[in-house]
Amino acid sequence: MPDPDCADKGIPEHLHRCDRGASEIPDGTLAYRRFRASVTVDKDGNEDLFLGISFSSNQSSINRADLCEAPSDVLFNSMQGGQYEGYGVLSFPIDILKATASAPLEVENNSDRYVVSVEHSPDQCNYAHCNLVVRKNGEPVPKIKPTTVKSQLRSLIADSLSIQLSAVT
Amino acid sequence: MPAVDCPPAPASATCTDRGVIPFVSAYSASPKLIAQTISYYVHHFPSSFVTERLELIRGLEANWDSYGSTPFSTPIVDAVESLASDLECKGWPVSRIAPSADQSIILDATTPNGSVRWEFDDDGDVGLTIEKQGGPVYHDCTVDSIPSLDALLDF
Repeated sequence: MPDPDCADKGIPEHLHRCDRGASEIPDGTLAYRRFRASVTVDKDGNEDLFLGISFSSNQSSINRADLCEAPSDVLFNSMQGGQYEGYGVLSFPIDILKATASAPLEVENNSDRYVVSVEHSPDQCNYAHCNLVVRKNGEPVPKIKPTTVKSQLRSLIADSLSIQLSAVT
Repeated sequence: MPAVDCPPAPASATCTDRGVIPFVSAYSASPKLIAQTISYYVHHFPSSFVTERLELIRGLEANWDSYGSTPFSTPIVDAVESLASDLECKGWPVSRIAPSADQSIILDATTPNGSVRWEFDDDGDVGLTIEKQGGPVYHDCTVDSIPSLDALLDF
């Protein structure tokens, strides 16, 4: 049964949370995320997809692909309704980040260990919603510091990013 | 592109004089000084690529990435601009200046020792990634303690 609030916002029914709870993310699942077209291009005009990823806790949203019908599901504005315009959709395999559990990221001359996980965190009108959670020595941190840990994460993920949907500008 | 020495600054200019060409009197300046001045500013004015990218970054509105990112602070963009200018002065090409959805600005350049990436977090932290044959070397600092370009060659 559809959620009337979400239906009013134009969100398709398969994304309505209703009474469903969080669930385990299966191996091999892709993550979808919006990226702003033309902002993140390099000197040759290529999109730098890794720039579209955030590891900060309040900006790290992704959608798990197994609960979406299409990459364009991530373009729905689940809070205000309607769709985001001028954005493309990128994807990456969630397993790549899960791999940090067995091979934590480290910083030279520092004993800290960093692990990234993807946690299913359904919203009322976006059941596929997840957050990237970074843990430093087992404790969640809102931002990754020092900065070069982000650099390591980007290196880890860069080759696996791909465009699912080009932006229409 | 091989590294080149910057043209010497004319007496009336400093490296921070970007954007304003000093008045050179046609009556008092020698042709050599005029040529030096022109050469200096040609090397110190940022390329159109750098200018366009910085202009784009300065113009980003709140929530530009649709995930809640805020506009970048002026001192950070200024620091990126200063570094880009110094790199171009050295003849070390800047290949990327771009904002990330993680509230940082990435600058990539090619040095005589390989490629280097600076990531400027908007809070003033900076991460350097220096690509070496044996794998990347990482260095964390702040916007006030970025290693000089000459020091990069020793990493």
